[in-house]
Amino acid sequence: MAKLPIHKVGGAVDTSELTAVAGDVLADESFIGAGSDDPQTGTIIRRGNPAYSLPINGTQQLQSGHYSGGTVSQSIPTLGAQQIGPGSKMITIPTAGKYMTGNITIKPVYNLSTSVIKKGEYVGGVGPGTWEGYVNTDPKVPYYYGAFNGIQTITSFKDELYNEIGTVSLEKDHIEVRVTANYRYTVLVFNAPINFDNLSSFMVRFESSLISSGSGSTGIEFLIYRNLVTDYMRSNGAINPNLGTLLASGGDSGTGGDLTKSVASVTGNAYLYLRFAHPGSVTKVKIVRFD
Amino acid sequence: MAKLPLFFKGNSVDYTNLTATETAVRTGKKFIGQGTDDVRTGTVPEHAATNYSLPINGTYNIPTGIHNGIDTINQSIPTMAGQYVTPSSGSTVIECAGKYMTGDIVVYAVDNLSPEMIKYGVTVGEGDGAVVGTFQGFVD
Repeated sequence: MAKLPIHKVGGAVDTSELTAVAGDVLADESFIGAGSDDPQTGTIIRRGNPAYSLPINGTQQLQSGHYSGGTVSQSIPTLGAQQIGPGSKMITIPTAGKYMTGNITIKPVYNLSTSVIKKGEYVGGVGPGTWEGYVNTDPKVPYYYGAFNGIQTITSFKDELYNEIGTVSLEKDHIEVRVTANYRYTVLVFNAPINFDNLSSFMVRFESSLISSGSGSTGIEFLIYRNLVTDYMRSNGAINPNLGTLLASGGDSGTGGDLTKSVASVTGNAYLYLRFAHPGSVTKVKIVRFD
Repeated sequence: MAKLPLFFKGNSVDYTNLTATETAVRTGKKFIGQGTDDVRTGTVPEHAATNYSLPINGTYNIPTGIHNGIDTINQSIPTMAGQYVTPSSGSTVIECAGKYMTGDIVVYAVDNLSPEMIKYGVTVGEGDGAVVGTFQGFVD
């Protein structure tokens, strides 16, 4: 059924129960409300559905008006806890502009202690260092300036069963053997067997000097026997039969240098002996090496 | 001059040009709007001015409705400037958790850490800055 509009010209509607005013109605919406029989237009500004991004520690104001929703949000990069191991290079941790969800720990310098720092030096405030010497891990080098190769050790014993032994000491960069008299000839044996199958030469670097000038002699002797003994080498001049076959030998009666001999003919496992049979001498063994 | 109310029962007002509906009028407010001469009541909720502190990377959902004042959304996150750290034989903890960093953290190279200062074959330090020692010999 059609509805005929009746204009209220000359009349008035009852506005007494209407309470809406322009400030209660969204902008541009027309209505009849409080205070007037005439149509009014709302004034509440429509703000829509905005999406604001808040910077770090920023402020976002929302003006009065009507919102159909919207958000104020934030997207700040984050960085979790970090463990940093320092070294010889500067490290930059890119934290600028990030929110930290954990602490950053600068670890102690890995493996840094006085024992690995060069003697007398400081590294990273740690020191003074105490390290000096050589690192020897070469199986072909039983001894190198104070360092055994991790395989070998030595045993010293008397040369002649019925005599005495000289003085043997391990110094920081050499083995020192002091033979004061002929009844103190001394033998060193390297306790671990050596496989000679792929070895061609032997070298011992030594220094030998007289304890008293003009009295005695200097030198060194090496011997390779099949077996290991640690009690004596001779008995009344006869070779200890427990030594087995003598496979190679050589000597130098000088005051030092490199005594080098071929061991190419030796095969299988055998033992290295150094014999000190020069009375009145002190001999320093610096390097024992096979090639 | 007194105004005599004239009820419009049985009559009608010209609402043809009215556009307002309940969803355009503040809740509880009465009006005559679109499509009918009946008195209607607005349903749009209203909100008082508010202050809200946004947590880090949080989201504030703007309530639908009429906001009577200025809402303020702000934030107060602790900040920390860039740091320079000298490494040592002990741990150093930078208490930066829960903070916004305004600069980078720089860890200095370990002073005097070089291969020739370290025992041969020994590794000191980590990562790209790790050093393998080369020193052998006697100092004295």
